[in-house]
Amino acid sequence: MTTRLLSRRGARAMTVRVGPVEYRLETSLPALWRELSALYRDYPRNDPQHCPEYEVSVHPTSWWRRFVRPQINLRADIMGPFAPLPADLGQVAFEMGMNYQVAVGLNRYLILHASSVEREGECVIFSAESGSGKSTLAAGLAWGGWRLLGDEFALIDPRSGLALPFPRPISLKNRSIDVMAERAPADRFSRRYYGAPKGTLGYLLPPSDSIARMNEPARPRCVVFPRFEPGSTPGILRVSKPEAHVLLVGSSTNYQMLGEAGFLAMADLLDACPAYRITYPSLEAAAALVEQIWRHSAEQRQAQQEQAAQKQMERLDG
Amino acid sequence: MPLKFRSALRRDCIVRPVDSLFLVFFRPSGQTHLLPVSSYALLELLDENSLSVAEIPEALAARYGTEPETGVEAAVERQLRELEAVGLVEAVDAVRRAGGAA
Amino acid sequence: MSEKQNNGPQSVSPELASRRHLLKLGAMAAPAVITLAPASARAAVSTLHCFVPVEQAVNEQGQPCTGSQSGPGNSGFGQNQGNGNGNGQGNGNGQGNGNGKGQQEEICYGPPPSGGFTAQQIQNGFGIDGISDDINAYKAYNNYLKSLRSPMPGASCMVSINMAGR
Repeated sequence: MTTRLLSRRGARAMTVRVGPVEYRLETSLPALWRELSALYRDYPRNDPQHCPEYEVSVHPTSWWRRFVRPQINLRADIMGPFAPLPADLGQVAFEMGMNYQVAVGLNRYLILHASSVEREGECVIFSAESGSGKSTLAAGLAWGGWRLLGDEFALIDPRSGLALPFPRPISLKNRSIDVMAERAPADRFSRRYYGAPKGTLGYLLPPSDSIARMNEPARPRCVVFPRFEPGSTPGILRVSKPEAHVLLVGSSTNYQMLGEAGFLAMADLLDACPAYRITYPSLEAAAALVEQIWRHSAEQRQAQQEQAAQKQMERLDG
Repeated sequence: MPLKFRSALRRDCIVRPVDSLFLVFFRPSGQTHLLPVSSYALLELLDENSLSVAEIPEALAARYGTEPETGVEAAVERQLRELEAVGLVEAVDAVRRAGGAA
Repeated sequence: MSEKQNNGPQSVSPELASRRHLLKLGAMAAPAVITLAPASARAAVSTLHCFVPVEQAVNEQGQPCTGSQSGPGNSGFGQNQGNGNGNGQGNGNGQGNGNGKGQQEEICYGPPPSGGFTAQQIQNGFGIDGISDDINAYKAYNNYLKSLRSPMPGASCMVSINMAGR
């Protein structure tokens, strides 16, 4: 086990595992260290067996920026367009940095911008743009009996087709925090971060079970493109496979990078999974629509298997 | 000599049919394309088999057992140019080919 | 280089053989090839993503229905169980729901539960993954769609669908 030198005086570091990814997180700011430790208290930490894949650190931009309009810099193995942030958004910087490493660097898996939840070994994948409500939806379902696989990225293993859990703390924005405050225990929430790039942010830990089972993959059952629309009538539409391909390729951060493997992984995923659009005005409505889709997608698979068996028989006869 | 077109479908592409379309991964560019039936049929027809725009409608009909279409040369040319733009089809210089280049 | 003449159905792939009936060189207004790409390039297929709202019930002529009818149907899965074909593509048209006789004895077709139709459904036309697989409902909705004029919501979506060659 290599000993890593801490990059700043007074810096403290921990390694944290989330699903198949291990991070080394470091900061020299005591208050931020406490927040970080609290948020990741349930996650496997500092396991000497493992070597972290990505390093993310948050430090003051300069020594005087500890005191005057405190400002922090995010540094990571894979550097993105990270601008300095106010020091009290340190945890937000960590979360952004951790996301960026995976989005840009994790090429063992096909990565979709999607949340997903699991039941009985199978999962629903909710593909949507940032800010569309997919994290709130995932949070609502995770605290409504489903196991959270992830709120930001779905990781598809090209060899097995399985979805690997990546259950980080769920990032909620603005009103979504209030919506979930009614549904999850107070001690699972981080504090609120005001003035973040997208407004007010908060992080909600998934149920302990989702964290404890982060090594249990799931077979994708269906793909859903959700749209939250206040006042709308809840509805479900089938999405054709060609359109689903266009949308999912558009949502993947590394489809192009994976080349042939990405093509086959996506084709296999959409061969197996029917796709749907849902429009919903509330989490309750969404949960009900997901239940319908859950049942319908099983019937679909049944019908598809029967069709395939039928074709097989015809080929043998013919 | 009229321009001829050919593809290298089996050599360069991975294909997955999806509903009434075809997903095609083109290895040389690493890009993924969606093709309707007629575009994909052109790729299959032209696989290691150079044909000119004028020859295609009849060759297609013969191969797939359909009725030959007439008056479709402009449409065929347009489709071939689109396929050529992404590399799925290439124009073969008929004169040079006749000169014995392998 | 010698030319091989690949004539005859033996050299046809099974995938193409089963889709032979869709083979029409001359009928294509749509692109011959669409390249899949990360988000920034998706604007090229934006025609598939616009939406035409249908917020009120319409009669057979596609005009707003004054008669009473049952409200917007269910999401369609419960009702469409028996309508599933091999692909089982149910949609949210609440087929069979939302129909009723108005005061003037006209038949009203309720607004689809999804609130309207996507461009893809309109392009698919008649059928279970199109506007409706009930011929009368299809005609009613189709008449409504044809009647849309700017600035009615959905009119510009219809224009782009028509330009793409419905």
